[in-house]
Amino acid sequence: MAIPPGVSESDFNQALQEFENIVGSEWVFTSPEAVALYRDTYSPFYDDEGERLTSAAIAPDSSEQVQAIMRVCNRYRIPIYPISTGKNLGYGSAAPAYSGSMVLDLKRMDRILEVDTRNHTVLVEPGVTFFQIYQYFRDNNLELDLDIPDPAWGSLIGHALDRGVAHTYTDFGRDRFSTGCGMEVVLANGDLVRTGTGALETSTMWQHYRYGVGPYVDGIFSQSNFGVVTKMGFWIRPRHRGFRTGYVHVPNYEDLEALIDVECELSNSGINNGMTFFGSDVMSPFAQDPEIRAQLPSSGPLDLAAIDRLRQERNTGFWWAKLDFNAPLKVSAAQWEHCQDVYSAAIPGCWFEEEIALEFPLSEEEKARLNTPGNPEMVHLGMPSLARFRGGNRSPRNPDPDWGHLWFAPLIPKRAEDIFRAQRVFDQAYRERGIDAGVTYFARIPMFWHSRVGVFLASLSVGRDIEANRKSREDFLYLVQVAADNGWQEYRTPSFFQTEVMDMTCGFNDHALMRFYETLKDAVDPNGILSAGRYGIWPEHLREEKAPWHRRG
Amino acid sequence: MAPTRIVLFVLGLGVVGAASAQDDADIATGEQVYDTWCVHCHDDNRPWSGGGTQALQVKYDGELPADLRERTDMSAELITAYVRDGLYRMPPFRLTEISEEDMRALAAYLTRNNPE
Repeated sequence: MAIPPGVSESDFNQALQEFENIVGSEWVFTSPEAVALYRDTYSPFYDDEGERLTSAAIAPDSSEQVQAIMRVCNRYRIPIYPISTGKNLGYGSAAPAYSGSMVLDLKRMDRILEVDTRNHTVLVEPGVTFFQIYQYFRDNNLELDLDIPDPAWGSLIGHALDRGVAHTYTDFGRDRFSTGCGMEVVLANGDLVRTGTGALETSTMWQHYRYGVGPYVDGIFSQSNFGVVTKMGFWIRPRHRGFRTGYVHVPNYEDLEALIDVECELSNSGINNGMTFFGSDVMSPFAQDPEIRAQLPSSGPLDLAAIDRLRQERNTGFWWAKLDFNAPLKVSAAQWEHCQDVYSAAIPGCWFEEEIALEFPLSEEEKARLNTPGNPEMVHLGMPSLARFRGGNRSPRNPDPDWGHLWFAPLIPKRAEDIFRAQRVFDQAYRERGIDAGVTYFARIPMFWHSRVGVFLASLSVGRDIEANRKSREDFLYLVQVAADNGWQEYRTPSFFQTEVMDMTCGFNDHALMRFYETLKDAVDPNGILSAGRYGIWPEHLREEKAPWHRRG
Repeated sequence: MAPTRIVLFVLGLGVVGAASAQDDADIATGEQVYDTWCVHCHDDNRPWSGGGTQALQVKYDGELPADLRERTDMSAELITAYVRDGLYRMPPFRLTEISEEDMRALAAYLTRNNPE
């Protein structure tokens, strides 16, 4: 049996006995076989020095049990790391940030506690998944929906706390954390708090007004380690009524600036209310046309004149924007018409193409066409699936798949000049590091999950070759530094690199923000038991060893 | 979904009949476990599936059924090993997700058509 770092064997044995008294012996896992299930099989440290491993795990069923567990952890100084569903693959999965920590597995806490069908809110526990709540709405004939990320087996709360993103309506969960309304949190010291209007014992609006009275603190429980969120409210939406997609095509390379600027005007006005995708007609990363592929080297500058000749020969555009509308079709027809008017006035030579218009409920024929060319993906309609795994799994195009990936996820301003600059910067960085980009960076556009920045998401391969994984790790840290040098910060990052990323990207005024987090940490978790190292926040007794900004004096 | 093989086998055998009722219950539970945890990738290869069936189609190239529900050659031990160890992009499933009891039921479901 593994022993957590800094804990004596006798203390750990005593603590395990107390844990069993709290949750029952069947929910305390210490056997190597059970503990191995918490390994991060996507980790680039897998089977190598530095892999973050778990010593034991415990699975409570209530907030009261979580409180009792925190008290035992404080008594014996046992490091513990909460997970919701542990499906944050590519960002650390179920493994702790501080190797040897116990895992607090909250999957058993999977109750949908309250649903307000009139004002469209829910209150859930951490183990509730997107698949589960989607099915719950349908099983109970509730006219409700919410924005669904891919993959949908993750937790609503976990997704929010890692500040994950999804794909549909601007205000209903695409930026999950922004839809949170009220939390119940077991602090690291075992105290139980409710935020917002939940602080009022007789509250009738915990999920309806997020601020309460006084400081608004919910944000400090995301990407952090100050407490265990055991309940969280969310604003959701009435059942989807309609979905429409329209393409705007523009003829010239330089038109990307106006294409994006007009989209900002439309989406920031609430007229184009879905998630917009941008891409290139002629430089599709998956272009099958051999002539076009020949002009798309995996790295290095493009011959734009040659590509433009091909574009003219094929009578296609250079860039497109796919505008999504989540509204009844009668409404979205007017929205789409307005978007076309604004684009026509702004960009000479642009043209439009309506891809699809769907009313809900979908017919069986319409459902069968989802995720096929020319039709929306399920996630764009708020329907759960695991379709995004299809690309990484073995397929005719990918006969020799890898075992996982490492997400490099820098934020880029939503402006054409920044995107062009990022393409140049990352293309050069990939060449310098000898990273196989697969397709040219110059055909890539960031994903605009957020309203005013894009995520230039790129995955680095993880397999079972230790040397190749080491290179992926070095490549990742190199890319994060290149991004930071250019003013671009990660929006979330894998647990095993959080300290390095916080060091590289939060250095203003001698890491003043990190020092502020540490002040909070010392106040709320004086024994440093909870999620040590999560997002670079280390307890006092580990700072000198683990936090580079302390070692540098 | 009637497990025909087992029903035929226990006709007239009271003691084994009790075991058969248990088998039927396990198989039914196992199907629920499959539909909760597995079918999102290991389905009949719809375009929105996670691609487990497609992956096996490429791997076996017709030599074995790509849909796990049609297989008759997998042992309970093999199924358990894949679920607990994971493989390629498929992560391991923890005891809080698929309990030991559910794991046995899942194995019973996926081996229900195995030859004696």
